[in-house]
Amino acid sequence: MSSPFWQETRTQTWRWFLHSRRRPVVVVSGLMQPLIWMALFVLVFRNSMGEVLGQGRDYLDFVTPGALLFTAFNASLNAGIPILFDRELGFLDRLRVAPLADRFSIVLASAIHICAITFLQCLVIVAVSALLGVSFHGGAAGALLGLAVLALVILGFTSVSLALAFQFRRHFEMLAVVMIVTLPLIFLSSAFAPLDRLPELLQNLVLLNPITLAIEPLRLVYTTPDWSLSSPLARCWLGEVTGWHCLAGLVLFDLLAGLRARRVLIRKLA
Amino acid sequence: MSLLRIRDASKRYGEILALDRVSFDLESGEILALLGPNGSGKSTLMRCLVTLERLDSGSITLAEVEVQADPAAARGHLGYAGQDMALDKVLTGREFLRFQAGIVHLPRTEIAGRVDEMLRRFELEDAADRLCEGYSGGMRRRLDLAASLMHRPRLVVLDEPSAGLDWEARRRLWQTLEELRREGTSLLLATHDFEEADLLADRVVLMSRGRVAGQGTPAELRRELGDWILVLALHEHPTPGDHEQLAALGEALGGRPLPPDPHRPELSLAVQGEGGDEGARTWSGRVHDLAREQGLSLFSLTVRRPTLQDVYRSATGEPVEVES
Repeated sequence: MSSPFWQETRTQTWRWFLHSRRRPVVVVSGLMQPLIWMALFVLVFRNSMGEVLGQGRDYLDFVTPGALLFTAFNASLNAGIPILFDRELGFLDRLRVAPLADRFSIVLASAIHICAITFLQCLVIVAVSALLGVSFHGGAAGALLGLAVLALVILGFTSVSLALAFQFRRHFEMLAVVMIVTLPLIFLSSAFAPLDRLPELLQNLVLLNPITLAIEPLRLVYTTPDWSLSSPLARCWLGEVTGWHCLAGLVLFDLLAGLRARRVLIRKLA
Repeated sequence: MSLLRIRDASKRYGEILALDRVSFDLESGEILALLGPNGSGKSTLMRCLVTLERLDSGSITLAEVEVQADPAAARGHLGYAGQDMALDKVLTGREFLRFQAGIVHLPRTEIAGRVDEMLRRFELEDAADRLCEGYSGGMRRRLDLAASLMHRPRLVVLDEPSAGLDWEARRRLWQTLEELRREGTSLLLATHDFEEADLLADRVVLMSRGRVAGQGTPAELRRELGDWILVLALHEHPTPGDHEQLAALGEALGGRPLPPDPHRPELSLAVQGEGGDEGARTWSGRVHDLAREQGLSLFSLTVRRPTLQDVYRSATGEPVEVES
């Protein structure tokens, strides 16, 4: 682990963690936002959603996986912004002029940092929801699958964000795009409302959203003791959608996002 | 072989020809100044040299590495302190140097010692554990320079190193650069400051509109222009016809007129002649005698040694503000 590539990756990751330590407001606000949303949604919809969810299911149980996904999605979609600031301020030029073994270390360091911070935020949400009575039913295998789903979301949206960071010239352009896409992606998902209650046409659309593809298996393992990835989670115009389909869709999204990011990074960092 | 060899370097941004067949060499252990105003192509050339941009044509060879063909290898020989002082203000000075040491792959066992050495060398020990955002302009420059030297590069490239610094900070920076040269570090600096180029540089490359307008040691460039500069004016303010009358006087004196600035009343002439106070007195007498013969009444006459500003004006035809 002491090759030049790992040394430069470690050094850059260390710098990002120093940033987080010295500017904790960024980490805390990233944590507060989903907690506030969770609290608001539970306060507003708990009673009315009880009937909709049926089988005595509590809305807090339903919404907790959504909040976890929202945290991961939000943090990873903003992952590119510090890099864009580095570009604007000329700091990225310092890295581009340095004899780096591989400029991919710039991207990897940012991804490692954002993954670590996001997992930490997710842990806090799990702990808070546990204190409120939401327990995880999926067992060790379910926990592993949940982590894998979160990792796929972080990886995919971090790739998108890093690609955007190298395509835009100014941070406010990227912030505008992030703001525009965040709410539709969240509300056109099953984060806060059950999929089967949406109009059929909208269900098909929502199932194309990577956030839905992540929420459904995560919710499955969070709430079901004897879960199976083969059990149907939703219906679309092609037929039943299982956990396997969701995971395959997520992997496809990550691949496409990764390839796109790679193309942009090769062009911009060459 | 020269440490740095640039041949026919050309670069275009759309309609603008930023570099037009620029060629020069930099020898090991020397300070070479690229001298010219903003927009003359200095920064573009530096960005191509440090691999931030690519030339459209031509070549840059650094320590026998062809920069365009193998930029990764070239980066190992380069240190770069850019114009915009890109420091991470969230880090302390010590952390910033540790960061730099990590990205240039200093062995872990060497990092702490090298960082301490650079902090001491650049007089930043007292501020080492303060955040960079509290540093003065001079301290930021020194920290940036220290970072660029972290991996002991063969060539350090400095873009406008003293821009925005007060006199004291400039003087300290120049001292540091002099010391580095004495220790054998090669420096390429881009500057629009004639005094900086004259004081620091072993050789100067004059840049104008993307081209090399002249090159040599400051002394050679001045000597080629002439031994004396006569600055003549007929009125206190620019008056139509003055420059023509003064040019005729200059021709009679056998001098070489420098391109006049239409906004100023003076005309400068480069002339040859003996040195010392006697030479100046001789020229003063000759000018006054000839002016009288031609029926001209001089408002002012200055006889002085040529400066790099004069050389630049003569070579490029561009008016230059005389700052010193």
